[in-house]
Amino acid sequence: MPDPAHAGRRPKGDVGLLVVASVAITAGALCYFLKGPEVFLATLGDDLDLLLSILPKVLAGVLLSGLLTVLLPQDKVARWMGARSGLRGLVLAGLAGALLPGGPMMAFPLTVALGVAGADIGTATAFIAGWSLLNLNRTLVWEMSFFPHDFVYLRYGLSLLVPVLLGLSARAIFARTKAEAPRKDSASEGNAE
Amino acid sequence: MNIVIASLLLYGAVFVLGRIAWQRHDGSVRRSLDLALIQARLVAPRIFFAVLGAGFIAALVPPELVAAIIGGDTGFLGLLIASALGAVTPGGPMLAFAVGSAALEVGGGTPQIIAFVTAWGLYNLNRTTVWEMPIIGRRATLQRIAVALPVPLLLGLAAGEIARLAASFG
Repeated sequence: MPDPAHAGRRPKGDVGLLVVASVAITAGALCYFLKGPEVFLATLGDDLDLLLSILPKVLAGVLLSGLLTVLLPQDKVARWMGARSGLRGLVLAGLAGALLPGGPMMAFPLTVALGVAGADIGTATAFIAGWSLLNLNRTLVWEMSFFPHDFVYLRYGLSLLVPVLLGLSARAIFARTKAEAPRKDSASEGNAE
Repeated sequence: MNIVIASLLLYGAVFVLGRIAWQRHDGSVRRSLDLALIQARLVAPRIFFAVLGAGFIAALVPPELVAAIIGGDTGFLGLLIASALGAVTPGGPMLAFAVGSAALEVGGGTPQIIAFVTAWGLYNLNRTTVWEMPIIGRRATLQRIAVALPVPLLLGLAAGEIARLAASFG
């Protein structure tokens, strides 16, 4: 298939899996030879137990993210949110980051769409922070499967205000550069690429 | 118990959203299932290897070493190291969480692991270079990271203070 965008993306994903798989296999082999077959088998048993207990949540997680993706069309969310500004815009951006499911292939294009719809660097920052620290899908499916729940509550609770605070900071620090941007941008656009 | 509650919440949400999708009668359910299947295919092999790998690594690494580097008594330096480790940990949530929880189990401190997870979430290099920079641009990425930089340390410090307060009350 000569589609370059597709050809470029595929291997990246596979490389990620390859790295994880080779780390797992190397660690397994080391465990077997350094610690002996007994430790190896005991560890393998624990791991398989953990996998079994995670399974139902993963199933719910992928169903949930499929449903949310279909029910909350991202272009609509972006248009609706991008037009909001002020503190309310930051809160909504953080909230959207927490609610919308999906990986980086969802979050970053949506950030661009927010910008197109009129959002500033503060809103973009709040959205990405909400997505990376408070994403419900990730926390319920992955974080709660691996970590003790009091750890998750503590981390999540501490992170609650972070998107809004980061959005405010980004706005305060970079608002000035943004105001100068028209001149700079028109000058650098010609040089870019 | 808690696991049951989390699962109930998840399946409750699946049920409610599934009903909404069903009532639309426009193929929403079908499209949701297709997307879920694509994601499941992507995620299943990764989570399998991530869980196995993290388990073996936890069995290999001496707990004293983990405690000495990112244990609860390592203070600010431990938070710094944990944040840096979070920034360089590649891969998706399954790998980062598997590694973090294994470290927590074998002697990592709660504040340090919170710093690790937070740094991984806010600016892991792998995601930033592969996805964020090409999509949202270098300038916006750097501005975002600049303000996010101290957050893992601050959350780690706050977690340490909370633990101290809880200990002095309990």
